[in-house]
Amino acid sequence: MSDDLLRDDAVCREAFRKGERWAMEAVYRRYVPLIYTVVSRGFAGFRGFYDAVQRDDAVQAVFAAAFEERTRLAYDGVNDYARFIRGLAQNVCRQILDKDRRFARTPEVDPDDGHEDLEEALLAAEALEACRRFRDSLADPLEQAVLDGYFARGEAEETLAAMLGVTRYRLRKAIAGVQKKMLRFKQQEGLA
Amino acid sequence: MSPSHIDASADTTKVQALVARYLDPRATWTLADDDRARELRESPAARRAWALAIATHRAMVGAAAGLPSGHEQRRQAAIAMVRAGVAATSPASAASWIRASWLRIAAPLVAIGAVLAVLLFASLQRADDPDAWIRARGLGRMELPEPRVGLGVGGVTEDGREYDAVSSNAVHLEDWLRFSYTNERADLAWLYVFALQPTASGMVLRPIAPLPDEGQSLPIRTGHFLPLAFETRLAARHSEGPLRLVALFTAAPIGVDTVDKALTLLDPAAPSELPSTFEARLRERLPLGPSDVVQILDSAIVPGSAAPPNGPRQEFP
Repeated sequence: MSDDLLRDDAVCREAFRKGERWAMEAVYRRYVPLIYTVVSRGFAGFRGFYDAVQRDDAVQAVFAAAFEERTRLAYDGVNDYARFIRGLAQNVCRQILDKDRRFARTPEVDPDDGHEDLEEALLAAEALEACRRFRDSLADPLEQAVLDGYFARGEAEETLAAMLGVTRYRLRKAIAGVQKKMLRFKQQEGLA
Repeated sequence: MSPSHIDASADTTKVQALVARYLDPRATWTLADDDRARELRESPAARRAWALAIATHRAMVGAAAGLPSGHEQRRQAAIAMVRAGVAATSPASAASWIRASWLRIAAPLVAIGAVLAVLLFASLQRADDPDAWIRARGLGRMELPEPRVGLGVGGVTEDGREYDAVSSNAVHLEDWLRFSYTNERADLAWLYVFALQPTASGMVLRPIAPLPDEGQSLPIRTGHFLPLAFETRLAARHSEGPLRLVALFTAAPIGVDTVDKALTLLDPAAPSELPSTFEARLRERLPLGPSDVVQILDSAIVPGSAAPPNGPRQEFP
């Protein structure tokens, strides 16, 4: 993977400018960790959103702005796109702060309570342990691969089917199977 | 039980049903669903129920801490595209990108193979003819990465601090504009930069480079991040409001009169048109070659000067 996808990959950059879905998905996946860093940790005087839902909403607002034709064409292809989209994210965060009355600087959970992150803080230790048990409970290697490749990493069906050497029909059956097992496990364990 | 408790409980139940659909790859997820979820999440109880369900999902699938799972990323990317008004121009498939990348590697190899096959065939055909000689020279034009051409625009404060004028969406009236360019194409030897501002009395052209008395485009060379030898003080000729900067990288110089005439023919609303539409109109009216590059950058001029970093409320960066 290049340091900066849009700057270094001319094919992807042109497709992104034209608004092709595959390129925008690639851009989303490449830059989403950076945008989460901006909305979670903040910048300058802003300390980031503590509310996990608000973080997700802010990230979506940033990408919705980045995907607009005007913004796509404004990127010059010379400088780092990471820098460009970080600046955009900061502006979107400011707009959200300006108009969102829901925003509060007091975190709902204490970020210093020893948890790895806020999501883990939301879940009880028993629930986390149960989630780990679920992952270990998938004995079929195909189901493990589906959980990891499709659900966790977000590989496309076509790509994952080719990687695993199975048909898309079989992969879809496996995805549905894993989804059912997740639902059943959540009901059994009383998880949210 | 008070009405507010009943409402909160109902919202939580609704949001639990919605998040179950959101996390189910077999179910569809539309913009209306997303808006409905946002609306319900205004209730703190429903928001917490949503956050818990998401956190459980991420823990169950083993997603990286603090990041959406791959499944969520698919959902979010699709909704962001719909919110941005992007029409589907090709199937959403990462595999198609891989295929495109693969084709980029394979296409030149196939082309070379084809040319060699033709040469071999020709040489075999002419083997009996002592006067025959192969006339093909070179391997034709191979696909190379697109050369980079672009204008960089920065805002500069009175005390010399610089900020990006495009990604920050704003430059300050009391600041200066500083320009640089990158040009990897030797055939593009001239640059013309101007700004357009829509005002109450119509579209106003703000010449940047060349100035009216300089006559034609500025000569440029190939290189990266080459500065233009001037800065523009915004307060001198510009006013607050939207700002559209246009850079024309051309093979031949363009006269100031030609640009002035072309712009007077444009619709007064042109500066607020989509960049692609505006570029098409510009190309109709200017003597631009197909390989000439038109770059359009949108920003806005806001009052004052950019505040120093770490202040209580400042613009990017």
